[in-house]
Amino acid sequence: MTFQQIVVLAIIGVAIFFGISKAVAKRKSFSTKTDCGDDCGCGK
Amino acid sequence: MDGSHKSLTVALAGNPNAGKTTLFNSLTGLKQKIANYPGVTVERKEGPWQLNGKAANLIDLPGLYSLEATSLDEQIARQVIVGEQAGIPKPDVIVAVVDSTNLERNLYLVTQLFEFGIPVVIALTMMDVFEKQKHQIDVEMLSTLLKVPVIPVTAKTARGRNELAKKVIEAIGTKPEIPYAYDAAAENAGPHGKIFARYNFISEVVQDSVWHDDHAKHRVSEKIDRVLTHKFFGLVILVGVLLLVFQAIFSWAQIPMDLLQSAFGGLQDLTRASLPPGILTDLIVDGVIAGVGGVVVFLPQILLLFLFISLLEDSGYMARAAFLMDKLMSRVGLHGKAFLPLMSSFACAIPGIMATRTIESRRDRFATIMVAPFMSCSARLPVYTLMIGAFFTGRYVLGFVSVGALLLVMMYAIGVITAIIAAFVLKRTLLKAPPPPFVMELPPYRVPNLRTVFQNMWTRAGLFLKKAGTVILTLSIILWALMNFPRQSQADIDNAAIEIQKTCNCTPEEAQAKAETEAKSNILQHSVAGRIGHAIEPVIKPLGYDWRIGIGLMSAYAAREVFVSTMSILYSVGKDEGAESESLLAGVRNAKDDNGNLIWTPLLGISTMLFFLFAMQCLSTLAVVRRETNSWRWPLFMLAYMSTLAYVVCLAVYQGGKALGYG
Repeated sequence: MTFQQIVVLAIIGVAIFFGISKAVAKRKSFSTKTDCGDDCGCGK
Repeated sequence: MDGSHKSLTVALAGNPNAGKTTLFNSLTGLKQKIANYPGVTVERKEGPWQLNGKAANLIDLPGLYSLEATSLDEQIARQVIVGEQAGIPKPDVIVAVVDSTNLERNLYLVTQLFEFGIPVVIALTMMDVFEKQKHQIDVEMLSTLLKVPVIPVTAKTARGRNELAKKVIEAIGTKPEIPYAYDAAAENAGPHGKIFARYNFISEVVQDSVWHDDHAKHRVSEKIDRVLTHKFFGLVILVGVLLLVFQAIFSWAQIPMDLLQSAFGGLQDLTRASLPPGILTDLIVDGVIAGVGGVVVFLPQILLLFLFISLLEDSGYMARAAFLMDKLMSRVGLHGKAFLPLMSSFACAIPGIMATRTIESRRDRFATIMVAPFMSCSARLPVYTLMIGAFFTGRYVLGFVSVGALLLVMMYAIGVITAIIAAFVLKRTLLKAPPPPFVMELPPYRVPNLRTVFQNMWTRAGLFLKKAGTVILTLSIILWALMNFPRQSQADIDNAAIEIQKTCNCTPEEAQAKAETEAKSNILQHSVAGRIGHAIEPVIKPLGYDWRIGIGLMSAYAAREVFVSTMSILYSVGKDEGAESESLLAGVRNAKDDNGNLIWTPLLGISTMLFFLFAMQCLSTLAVVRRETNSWRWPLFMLAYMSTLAYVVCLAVYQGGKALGYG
């Protein structure tokens, strides 16, 4: 395996890891609860 | 006074954010007790309040907009007021906290409080902010019209504290008078008659007791409104404004977009020339630069879109557009408050869906959530522009209206119309409920604040570039890998060269070159992405899509803009190494299928735009819908019905168009 191939595989590995961690990460930005309407159904 | 308890009980009621808690803290000091109401998680706060020598127990009710008793907070508040809440005696007086900057909305709760037969004293908050906004309240007039004491208070400076205590003492034992008339037996009462009676009364009270120092401004606004909110001309002007906006987006963005396009093309050529040939260079040039660059070139259009959205919002025109649409929306059963979340969805469905929290009714809220993704978000813009740029550039209607701008307006309009139809169906089937009435305040027109406008554009540009640098970059690398692996080994290529040499009567060098060219052209065909594309091809073939477009459609489920990156990578991968980077538009226009025929036609371009308009292709939106509806049922339903709709519409458009000879 050439050095270029090793670098490419490492980059792809990092991208897959980053992609998966992004997908399963808890979406903190969505937890802002402002102006929740009455009986809005959001489980407040 | 009720003699069943020794100390007095005073309840503090008001809308959320009316300054109720600040007033409660100011009146009780640090001696408050915080607990939960029995059996529920609604917070119960109470503390002692010295009423000019008399001790009272002050109860802070949950923040409320009304007392319809539909939510838990409203039920608890109602129970406390009627004396049915265990451990809390019926209040002797209710102090209604009213935010003077939102007088209409806050007084609605007050009109309901009058109906319980308990004396009410109004504490008017936020007077300093109200006066800064160049408005004035005649407090005495307000008190006369409402027939209850009204005391302006400022928690920070203790202004009005003693007077409030004095009025509360005086009010004990009195019976409040309901200041508005409502005849439930009247013929025109209707299901919402009482609500309208309350709002009519509030409107009269506010008109008689509030002055606007910027009255001249209001008069001008009223005159302009006669035209802009006119039933017919208002809608014509709205369509005209939208057409102008999209025409400008197209023509103004062209030069910076061309510059960005050339810059990324140049970067690709420079990188390929500077780095040694190999897999790493391919990844950087065809994966990273093509994928990220393909999306970043649309930055000027995104910026212009937000420039116009901000200008329309800041000038006060957006509220008029909401007013015009409200009539239509209430006819289909959507709440008037749904307009703003739907407008926010033009930027992105996620904040739009989150903004539906202001809608009280669960059914109205869910109906809005279910239709919000039909609004064309900014992620669809690059896809629309790619298709329009590739097939409709330079075409004009009536000599000056560009077909591109017209198509773009149509995409936005079809989205709105579909949302309205979908809401109409949902509100009569799965989410059946009568639409509640809606009162809307139209702000006066004003010159937009350029600082706010540019700040908004800057924020949007930052978010777009952040997404390009993280999500799009990551997906571009993964997509490139999926389109390039498995690769043929050098040994396989050498063996193929030997086989070729046996049959073609050529030199070993020529056979080797031929084997390498074949291997290169086979990469995409036999890659993981190519196999996935081939697997779904039978399903998408009736829509006119081949396996390559299938890869693009699948990748767009991660984020819609990724379709553009995929096309960019797709048409870079299959290209000869020596060839110069051509623009993505030319790549799409000239793309050929396995038989050498052109893949794309204008009809397919329109069908693709419609697919992106209707299909639910955003995982983040589905995640937010799951969160906001507290169930997987709704996001799965959304995914199913939107994808089915996209398929059916594209099938009808493509097959119908072909039958008419447009294929």
